[in-house]
Amino acid sequence: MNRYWLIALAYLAIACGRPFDVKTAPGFVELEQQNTGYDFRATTPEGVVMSMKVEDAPSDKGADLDFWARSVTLQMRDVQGYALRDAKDVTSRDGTKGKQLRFGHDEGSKPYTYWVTVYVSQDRLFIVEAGGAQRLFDKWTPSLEWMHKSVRVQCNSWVAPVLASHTCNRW
Amino acid sequence: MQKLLLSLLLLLLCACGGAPSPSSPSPTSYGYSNGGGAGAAAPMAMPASMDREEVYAVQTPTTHSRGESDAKAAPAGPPPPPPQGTVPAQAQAAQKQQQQDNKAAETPHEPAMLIYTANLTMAVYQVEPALNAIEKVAKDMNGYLAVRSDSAITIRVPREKFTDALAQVEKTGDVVHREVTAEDVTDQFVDMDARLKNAMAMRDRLQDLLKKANTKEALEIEIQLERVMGEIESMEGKLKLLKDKIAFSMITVTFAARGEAAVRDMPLRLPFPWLNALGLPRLLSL
Repeated sequence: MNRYWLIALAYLAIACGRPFDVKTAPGFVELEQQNTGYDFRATTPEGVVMSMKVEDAPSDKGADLDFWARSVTLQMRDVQGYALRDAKDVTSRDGTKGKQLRFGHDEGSKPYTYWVTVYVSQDRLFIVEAGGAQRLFDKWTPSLEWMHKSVRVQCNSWVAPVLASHTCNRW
Repeated sequence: MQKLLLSLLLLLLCACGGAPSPSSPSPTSYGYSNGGGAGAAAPMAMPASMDREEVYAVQTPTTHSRGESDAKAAPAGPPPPPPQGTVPAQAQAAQKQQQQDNKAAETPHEPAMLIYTANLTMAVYQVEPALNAIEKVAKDMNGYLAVRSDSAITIRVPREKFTDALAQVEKTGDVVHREVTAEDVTDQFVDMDARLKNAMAMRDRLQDLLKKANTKEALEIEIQLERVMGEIESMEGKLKLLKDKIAFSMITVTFAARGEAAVRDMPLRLPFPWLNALGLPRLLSL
């Protein structure tokens, strides 16, 4: 009987974790959840921030990566006035293809950089944001790129292959 | 053996009979030639209507060239002119008039009087350097700065450099919205010019009358003269403004988000609340 309880607990532990994994680079500090809608957020002392959140995006609705990338571009450029400086194809650590949109925007006449990366996996949309004052952002770019490369939106585990494909528990 | 040869000859004759003569239009000349080999597959590649459209476009010059070759085949030289004595004077005058009309028709039309205006909306990024760059474009193109604020700029460039200037301006930032108009003011210009000439003629006549008039008449003429002079000045001003607008095209660049109002009618308002939550202010508010 004890054995069954242990197995059930193991499954629950896996299922309760975040459905993604991201590493925090040295120099960044992960922030506690502040009911901001982000599932992960880390900052440097100067305020260069990287965040990650997950939204439902059932694949049967037909919205693919291009759809979301285009939606984000329209929202940021037309509605919010951000300049699209670059759009790159990226791949997460688990091999999922994503799109990174690199924007620029002046905040009070000071140039800022803002990246939005989207991945579609597990019937979900993973949104990775990074932003900061352009000069500081440039300084922290290697760390930000390292963090982006550490992102996993699909995790495999020999313990529970079915559940693990829907979660990337962090313990 | 003879029978065989005969039947072969017959077959050859039959085969030769159907060959098209060189003068008859071959299917190729109409562009349906895709008829053979690889061409047979062509209609499968695109809708029939598109195929036909393309064909017609090609057909026109073909038909034209065929017309030329027909002319060559005809007896050489233009038809002989009618004997001089047989043409009545009236007909000759009509012919002359016709020739003059033809000449007038052949002379190229004056270019339309167009006022070119471009309105660009650019993303709000590195606004100050972009404003400087746009101002430099105006100076480089022998134009000038009309208005500049923190988030917008208007430059005027010579009409003939409008396209180049616009291309240069577009390179300075991320163009979110672009609107280019060419307003034809030929009618307005011609009308104003005619009215000005009439007013000037009236002024000259009034001045002549004034020289001959007695005191009482002179007072009335001066009132009229003042009115006409006022009209002339106003029309000259408007004409000058119009000429200036034609000579120098206007490019206005605004650095702003198009905003909710501008995009409300566009089909990009998606029902995903997280889209509205994207952006620096939210991300950076720690």
